[in-house]
Amino acid sequence: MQKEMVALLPRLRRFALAMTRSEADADDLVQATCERAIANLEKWEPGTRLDSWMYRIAQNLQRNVIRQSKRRESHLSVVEATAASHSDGETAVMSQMALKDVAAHIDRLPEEQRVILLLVVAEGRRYRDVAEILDLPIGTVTSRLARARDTLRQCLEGTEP
Amino acid sequence: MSGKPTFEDLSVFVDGEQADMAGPVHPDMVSDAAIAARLAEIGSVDGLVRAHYRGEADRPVPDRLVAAIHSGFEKRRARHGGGVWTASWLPIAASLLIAVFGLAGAFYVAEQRAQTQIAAYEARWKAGQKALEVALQDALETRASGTEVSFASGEADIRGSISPTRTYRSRTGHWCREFSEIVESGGVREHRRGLACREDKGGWQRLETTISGNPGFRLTR
Repeated sequence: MQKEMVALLPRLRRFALAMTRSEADADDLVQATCERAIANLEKWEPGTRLDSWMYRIAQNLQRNVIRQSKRRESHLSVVEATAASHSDGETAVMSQMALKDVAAHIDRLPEEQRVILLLVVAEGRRYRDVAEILDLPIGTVTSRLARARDTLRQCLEGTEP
Repeated sequence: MSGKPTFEDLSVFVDGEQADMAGPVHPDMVSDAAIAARLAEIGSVDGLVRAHYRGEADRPVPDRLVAAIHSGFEKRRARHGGGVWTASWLPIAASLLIAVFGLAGAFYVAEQRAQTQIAAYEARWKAGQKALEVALQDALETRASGTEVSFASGEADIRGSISPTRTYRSRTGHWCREFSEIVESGGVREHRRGLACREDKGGWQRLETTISGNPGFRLTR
């Protein structure tokens, strides 16, 4: 169990980073998550995924942090001026996008979309699992994911030469 | 199905999450150039997102997080568990208790005999405990991980082996070793895993034993 948890750290950190966007905050969150998980090990049901359970703990902790600090960043600037100028769906150019541009665009997504993007697209999870981890209705997962993809699509298109 | 699928419909379709064939996106629609283009765009976005996150998972994890896990588990071990009784002796202790109660029932009939028998159980129990303890100390103090120390005590009807499996230093600077052991006693063969740490004054203290995957014993102080 101890080993599994250590092995999970890189992915847990990535998940935390998707929520906090700050490496220091992400590491604090990961540490708090591990401590809470270890203190509550008997609540983990053997046979279920340890990573999902820990993601859920991280998500709850982070939600409390946000509630406490009452700071919710404004994500209004997400799409910026690029949305207007999308061409007619030629995709080849998009693959030329440098990864660092993608990183910047992902970074600008609202936290709740970014996390879903990570879980579904990068980790290949089913909507149902994601809904359970984040304690959201499946419909919300579906629409947030679509919005994230749509935003990225437009942003990437907009930065074409 | 009528009307053009929305972007969200396509997003759901790409993930294979559309409930059935009668959903808003029909595989035939893929021949529609505009829809095909959108699907391809989603594919490109996904590819970039995946590449981005793949990089993030490869970043090295700070030591303090690994340390937090190890110390968390250590604290937990210190908190849970009970007393000086080792799990290894629970079956024997239990049979001893049964013997005590059983014999107490027959106390009036054969007090002398009972006393003798209890003494015999105790002697066996101690001898077994000693054999196991000697093997444990020997294995942890002198053997490399992966090597095995066998032990047997005819008097105690106990035999088995202990092999250290992993060695590390705890946060408090103590050497700790995980080990696996096989103990056969009274016709029962058990596979166990355990953890022991070396005390400052020398000697290994068994902190935890798991019997066939179930928590057996944990030391509290």
